[in-house]
Amino acid sequence: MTVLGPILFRLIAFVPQLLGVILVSFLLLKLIPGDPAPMMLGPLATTEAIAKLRAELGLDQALPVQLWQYLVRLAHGDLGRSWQTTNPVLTDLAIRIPATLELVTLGLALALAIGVPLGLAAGRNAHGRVARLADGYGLGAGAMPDFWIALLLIYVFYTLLGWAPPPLGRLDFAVLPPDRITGSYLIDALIAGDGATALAALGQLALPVATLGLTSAVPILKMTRTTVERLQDSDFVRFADAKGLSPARVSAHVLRNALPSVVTVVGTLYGTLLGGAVLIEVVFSWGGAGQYAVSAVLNADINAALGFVVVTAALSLAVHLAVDLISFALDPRLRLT
Amino acid sequence: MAEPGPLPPSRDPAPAEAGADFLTFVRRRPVYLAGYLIVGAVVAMAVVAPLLPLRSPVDANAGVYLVAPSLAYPMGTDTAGLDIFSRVLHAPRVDLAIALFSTLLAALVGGLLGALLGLWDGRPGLKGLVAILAMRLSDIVQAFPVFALALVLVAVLGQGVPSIVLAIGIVNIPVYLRLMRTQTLTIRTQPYFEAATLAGAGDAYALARHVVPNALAVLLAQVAGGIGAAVLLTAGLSFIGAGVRAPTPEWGGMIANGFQNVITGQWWPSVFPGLALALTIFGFSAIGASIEAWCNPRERTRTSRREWAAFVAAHRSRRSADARPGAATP
Repeated sequence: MTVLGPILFRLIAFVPQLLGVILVSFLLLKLIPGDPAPMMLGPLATTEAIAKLRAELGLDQALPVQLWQYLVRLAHGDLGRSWQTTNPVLTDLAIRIPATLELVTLGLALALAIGVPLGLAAGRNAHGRVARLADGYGLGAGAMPDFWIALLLIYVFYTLLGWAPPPLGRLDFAVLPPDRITGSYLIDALIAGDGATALAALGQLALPVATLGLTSAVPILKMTRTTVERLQDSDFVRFADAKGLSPARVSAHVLRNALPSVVTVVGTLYGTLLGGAVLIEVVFSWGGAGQYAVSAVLNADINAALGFVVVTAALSLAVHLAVDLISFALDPRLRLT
Repeated sequence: MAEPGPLPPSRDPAPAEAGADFLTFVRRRPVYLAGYLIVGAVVAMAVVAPLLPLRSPVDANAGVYLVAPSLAYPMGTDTAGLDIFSRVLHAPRVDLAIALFSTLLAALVGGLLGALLGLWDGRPGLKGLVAILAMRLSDIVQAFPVFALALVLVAVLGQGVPSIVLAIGIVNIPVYLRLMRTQTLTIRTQPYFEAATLAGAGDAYALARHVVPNALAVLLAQVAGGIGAAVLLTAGLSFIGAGVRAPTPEWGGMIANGFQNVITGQWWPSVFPGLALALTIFGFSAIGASIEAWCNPRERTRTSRREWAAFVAAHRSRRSADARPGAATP
């Protein structure tokens, strides 16, 4: 097989995966007890509207026909309407997803900044002080619920110290949001050259990003550490030590070899957080896709809830694809199998 | 405290510990021991909470609104005038029950399915095909973010304790499926298994006699950690209002209830239930880690930190510069 073979294969595999996600979401739709049509339209629906939707969904038809119609609707980007916002679900999500992505991406960046150096140092010297610190950190932060950490941070940095802005969304009410380009207030404000707005957005981001960073650093730390510990026993590290390379340079070599597993765990976390940042979003009234989903679930807005889960699953598939492609780039051995 | 052994310290099996049993193993590792103590305390709490002379966890007394922790109210009261101490002690009845049943559901269904798929993997015909398709399906379910999937399952199934159990169970099935499948695939390559197959053992016999007993410890480790994760998921769902409903004492719901108070400076309604939740999750994951370490021969025989410290202290006088601990050659 050529070098391109595995990469091509991985790219093609994305299609059946996506179809699988759609199939599962269709099954979720079918799990709804009773008639889904009134549930989708909400409490204010007219009888005619319900009858019309029932015909559109093809509820009187065979299951494969229903699945086909579902696929056709999805292919047109039709996730149905949310009865709460009265907008198409896809439009609602498109507005809110950048907010979630901004939060999750920055949170993971912080988690990497904490987890990788700590994991590297702990793995290189299994009996050192840093290893103890890493043990304690892993145990402590690993057990604490993220939404509870968020509350503690709010209590300390907003209520007691007054350093952080109130946990009420992505920008202070007094600050005008920048023109929408990417959907991230921080980036958009920077593009517009509006330093004050960017700083305000950054202030709002500080606590939720800290929460995500502190909790997500734990799996990154553990993965880095176990990988580095394994590498410590490998020939190249022993050789590098034996020929007298400085510990820092050996660490650099070890880190380079540990990168593929770090990338993998970051990918998994990214996927989880797209759905799991929901709690943090609620705590900080973030107004992202997660909070949208919560309000959908609590108000039985089925289209919006299902739309959210399909879109996040598709996004996490895309992230996994990206992770695999990056791994191919980082580890030449993978390209040959 | 362990007696200093006659051999220099190394990461290799210490003879003093080679025959040690599980109890000694746990007793010598404070973190694992703490895990068992915490979980024991939480389970005891769940059992005896209604028998203790506590105030009612659900009958509000509006006269004692947001009282700070004091002797009469060790953890204070919340906005409705409920005694937080009593509620924190009663909460594991719901949280642990949901976590236990959902984890059992996931472990039984996922574990059995995983073992079967492991046995069927690579077989010709229908069974081999099922093994491939089921794994792909499990991949797809795992593509869904766990919390989002649980949330939507609750929405679809309707809110209520049975739905939460089912939702958390379903979300976790792929974890156990994958674990048992890998275990089975390893066990399948063992000589004793091949001998059984040659002797004409069927799937059911192979499962009962070889796969389940040999994979049980690893499965148990996952179950212990999994219960902690399920408690967290239950609390998370309740925190956003999609889980256990309000008057029932439940940690996640209590944290959410006190959220507004935290912002205005009354920390106790949220901090105490959160602490209980964090300790419980820690306890279960420590138990899971202890079983996992016990199953791993290298970890099992690794000198614990306590033994290490005792050894170093006893040999400090004799220690020369080149026999530094940690620099032991493999």
